[in-house]
Amino acid sequence: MTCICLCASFTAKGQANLHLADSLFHTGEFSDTGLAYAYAEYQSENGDTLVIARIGQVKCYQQTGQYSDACRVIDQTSPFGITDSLAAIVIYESMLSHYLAGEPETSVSRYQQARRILETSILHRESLLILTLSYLDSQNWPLAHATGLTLLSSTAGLPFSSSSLLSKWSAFFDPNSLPRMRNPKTAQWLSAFFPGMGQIYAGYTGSGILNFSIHAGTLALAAIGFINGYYLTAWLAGLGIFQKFYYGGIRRAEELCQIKNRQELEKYLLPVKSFLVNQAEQFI
Amino acid sequence: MIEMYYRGLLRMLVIVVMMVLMVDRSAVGQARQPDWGFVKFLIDKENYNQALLLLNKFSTTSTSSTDSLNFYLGWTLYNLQDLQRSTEAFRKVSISSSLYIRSGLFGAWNQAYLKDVKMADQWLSSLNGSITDEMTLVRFETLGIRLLERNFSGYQKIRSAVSATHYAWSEALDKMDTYANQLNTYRPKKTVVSGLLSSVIPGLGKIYTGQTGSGISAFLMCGVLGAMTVENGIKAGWGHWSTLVFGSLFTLFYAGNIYGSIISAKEVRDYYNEDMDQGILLDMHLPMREFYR
Repeated sequence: MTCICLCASFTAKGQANLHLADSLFHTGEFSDTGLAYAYAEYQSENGDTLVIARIGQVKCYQQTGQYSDACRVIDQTSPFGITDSLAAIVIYESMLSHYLAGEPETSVSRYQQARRILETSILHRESLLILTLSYLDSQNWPLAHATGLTLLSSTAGLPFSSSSLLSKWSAFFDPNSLPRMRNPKTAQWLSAFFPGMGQIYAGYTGSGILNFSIHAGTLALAAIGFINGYYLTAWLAGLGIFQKFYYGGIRRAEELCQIKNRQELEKYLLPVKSFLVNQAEQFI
Repeated sequence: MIEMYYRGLLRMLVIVVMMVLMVDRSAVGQARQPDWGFVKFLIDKENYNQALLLLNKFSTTSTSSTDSLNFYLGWTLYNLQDLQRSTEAFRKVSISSSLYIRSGLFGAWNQAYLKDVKMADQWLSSLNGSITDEMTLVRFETLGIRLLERNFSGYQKIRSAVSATHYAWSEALDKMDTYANQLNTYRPKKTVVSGLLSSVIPGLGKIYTGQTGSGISAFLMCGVLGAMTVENGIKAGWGHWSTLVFGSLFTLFYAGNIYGSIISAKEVRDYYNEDMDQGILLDMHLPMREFYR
């Protein structure tokens, strides 16, 4: 907030409203504070004051978890026609809001649109942190690795930085460490040719064995029916039930594959993100 | 503890100063009014939650301020799709206010959307203003209410008083005429006929109501179970457990098919009416938004 106040020139009226809003921010009453910033925006008489007031509103929305509202307000704010330092703040808040709203691709896009401004600003490291996290969420491992290295290297010379940090970071992206993502289409094809195989490929062996047993059971019932002369019953009941389980098994194999992929990804990302954020906290 | 006390005090002081600043001071010597420009600013920027927070903080003494407060409250809640509370706020706008007709129109529409068509009609009937176009809009909305009530004679009575010359409702008026024609000529399928058809041939009742896929599925299911019952009866005997099992399943599905056909006739009718009502409500809504843009 101090950074924002230093970055702009504004009238006495605008300054008074912004100072009031800033005071409210520290009380933790973010709904009232958001309103105060909105009033400051309403009363603003120049572009910089308006932008700072909007940034304040965005921060309040972020604090209360209203990320889509934060995105809406920050996207209304153009980073053009204002000072570079203020523009950097606008772009950074846009990146952060979209990342928090679960839109990592948009966050990356914001960085790429204004890379030149961010690289020369005091928010460069912060924006690199959000960029790395966005690449991780998008499963873009090479870029996540490279951006993370850039971020950690930028701390060279600081007391806590060391080459072991960079090695630890690179170890996360070793091919053997990356999460093994399974292809849902492959799971479907496997279950189509051999019932239960898709579930086993997805990592659910028990489910695969059960699925195979059900198929075998219904086929056996159909065979027994045919042998004993119950042709209609064998055809309609036995093969009919077989058909239902067959198509259901193919769909289930795809679902289980997607569930497994999500679990593997979460298991992988948690320590990676924790490491990155812990390191970042030391210099942000 | 002391720090928390002073923080609380600072917060109170800041809120008081903010409320003073948000009050319009343009007229010296007059009673202070809330800053409606700021309220409108928040609403225009779709910051509805903030607008609601602000409006709940205001307390007014003069009638005009109270009317504005209730109108903006109603308008904000309407945009937040809390139609019940929006209606309550719109109701409180007094007859002397310039926002009375507008509040009445949107309030009545809210009630029609919440399926209280009778109250919506009463509200519209009570609206009386001096602006010709606004009163024509009221009559247009009443046309929609007549259609929602399925009162076609009432619709025809009012229709001649609504001309299509205004851009806000010229297109919607044509659609209202189309709805009136469609509703007037609609012949719903009978539940008794549907049930009887399905008892003769399983699934035929559903095909009669327009659900062909569902009808064919019911026919196949009953057919399959019937065939299995007969086969088991011939091969194993009519008292054999497998015959009884398949026979019971057949009976169950047969009875279910008849019940399903009766229900489907009613559902198809309800779905048609719901679809028409949604179309009517939309075409009542758009002209109001256009007129007051």
